[in-house]
Amino acid sequence: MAVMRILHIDDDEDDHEIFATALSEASTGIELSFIDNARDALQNLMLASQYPDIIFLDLNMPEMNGQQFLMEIKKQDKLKNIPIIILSTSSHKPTIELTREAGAKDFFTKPDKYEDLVKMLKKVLN
Amino acid sequence: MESKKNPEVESKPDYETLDPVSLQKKAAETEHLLRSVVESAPFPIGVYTGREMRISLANHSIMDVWGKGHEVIGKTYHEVLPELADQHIYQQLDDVYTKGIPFHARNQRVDLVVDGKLQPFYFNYSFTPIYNIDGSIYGVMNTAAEVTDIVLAKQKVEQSEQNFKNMILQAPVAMCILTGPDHVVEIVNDLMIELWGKPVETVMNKPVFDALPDAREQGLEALMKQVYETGESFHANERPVELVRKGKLETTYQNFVYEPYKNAEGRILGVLAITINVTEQVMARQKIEEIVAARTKELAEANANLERSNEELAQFAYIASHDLQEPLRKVSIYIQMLENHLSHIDDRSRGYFDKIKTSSARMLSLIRDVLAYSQLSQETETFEAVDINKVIAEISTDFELLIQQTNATIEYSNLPVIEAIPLQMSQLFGNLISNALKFIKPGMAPVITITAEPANSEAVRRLNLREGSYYYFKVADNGIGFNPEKSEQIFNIFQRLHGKKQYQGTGIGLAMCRKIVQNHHGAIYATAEEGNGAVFHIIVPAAHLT
Repeated sequence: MAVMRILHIDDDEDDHEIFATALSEASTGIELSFIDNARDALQNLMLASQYPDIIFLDLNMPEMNGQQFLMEIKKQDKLKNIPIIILSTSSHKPTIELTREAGAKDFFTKPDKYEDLVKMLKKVLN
Repeated sequence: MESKKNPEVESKPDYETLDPVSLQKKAAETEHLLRSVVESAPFPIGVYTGREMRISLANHSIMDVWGKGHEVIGKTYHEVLPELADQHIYQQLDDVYTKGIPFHARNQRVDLVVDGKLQPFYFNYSFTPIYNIDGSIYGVMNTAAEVTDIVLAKQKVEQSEQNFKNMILQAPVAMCILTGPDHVVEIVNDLMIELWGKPVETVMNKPVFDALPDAREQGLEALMKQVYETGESFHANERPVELVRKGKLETTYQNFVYEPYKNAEGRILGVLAITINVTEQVMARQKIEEIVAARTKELAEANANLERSNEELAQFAYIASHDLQEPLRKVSIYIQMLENHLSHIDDRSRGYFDKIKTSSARMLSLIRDVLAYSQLSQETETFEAVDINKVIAEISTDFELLIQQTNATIEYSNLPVIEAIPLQMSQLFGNLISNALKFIKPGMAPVITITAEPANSEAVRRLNLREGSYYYFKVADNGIGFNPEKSEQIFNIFQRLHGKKQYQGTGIGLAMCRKIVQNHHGAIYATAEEGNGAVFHIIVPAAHLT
């Protein structure tokens, strides 16, 4: 089975740790990379020769927020087809709607329970 | 006393040329002619002879005036008209008879007994001496014209003028009559003099605007001229008039009327001016208006401050709860991760883990409810047509599991479509149904009944709601109810009537319900009996009230 490349963009390192732990429990054969800044992530992707298979994206970040990042990606022919899943603390309906309009594949509110996060990742990846 | 000789009798007829028979015949003819002239005269004529004034001739006209008939002939004047004894008339007659000087009276009142009643009459009358052939006075001729009607009419006019004048003088408002094109002050009362602030002698019988040049400059003369020329009255309401009163310039406010003053033929003689000085009232009202304006401004500022402070509070609640949520979520997740990570956990440790998890979960739900409460506003939300039947159906689906577990039924039908904030309607009915499913009587299947009808205007007024058309919803259950004394308290934020172990909850649900209903300019209240179910009454507008 081919390795699945996942990019997690979140300015919160704790959340990344939680995400990585849950991911390892949810699936195998994953190559996870992490970046805490959407602007840098965009720059890296523009120069990259290899693209991730899925991007998990936080929304509320300094410099460039998730929504802006999403809109920039969708402007780039090379990048626009990468599926992007929003993983944010927000459960605000209009915010969710905006990301869907901008082309996000799915939206998840960061769960309170670890098991819920594992369940969610299993569902998305399998 | 000797009768005087008539100086006018100079040429005498040539009686000597006539024989006695012819003379007698001639005399009889003359007398007959004279009598018939007197008789047919259309005005009263009487002839009284001798100093005793014996009536030798009285025509119909004079007998009508006296109210008597032919029986008067041959009687003395005194006998016929005894009522004249103390009215100087006997004396006048006697003077004419004795002195030979005719007496004329005009518009003279004479009281006569007519139809058995002493009544006043007015006459122009003359007593003239009549002479014998030898020039001596032998009687008095009385001619008269009755002018009673004319005199009475004149008296009436004079009385009416006097009444009018008195009315002006005594009127409780300032009044005057200004005559002619120069508006000369003819009648003016004290109140008008007081208003003008000028001594009466400086204005009386003078053109009014000469006396009040400042009023002329303010266009009042032009107004009055127009009334005088066109005959159309002019009304002013609270007109500011600046007057130099007692040497000081003052602004007065006047209600006044300029009314044309006409004679019987409708010719305009002048202008009747009626003025009410309303300065004090106007000043008082202006003062009240100023105070009201100032208070309104203060109130608007206070409102703006309150709104700002409410916004800040909501903002604070949002930020605080949003930022509180994050670390707590991590505590909650890490504790689970720790639990998973540890290979062996004894029972005591597991108990501690459970307590941390329960506490953090409860803290999270508290924070989320505060966040939801702080986000309840009507300004940023859009009002849409919301079918409450659909809202209840969706809530029923959300609570499916709990409904099954408790064997509950939710009864509703024909609920209306109202213009509202959709999410908030879900939260409102969701919280009420959640409560009804929570506070149930042990061993009794919950029954929740939701009904709606148009609210009557009396209820709308009683609840101090704005005018409009409203719906009255009732959400009733058969649960444990509550003490009716707490029916207001339950809407307070964080208010709980039961222990956490007994019934879970944050105490925010009903506070949210009230805020939602207030956002929609409606009202919510509850009625209940301890142990006998609760009813929540909701009155909300059918359409959004902006």
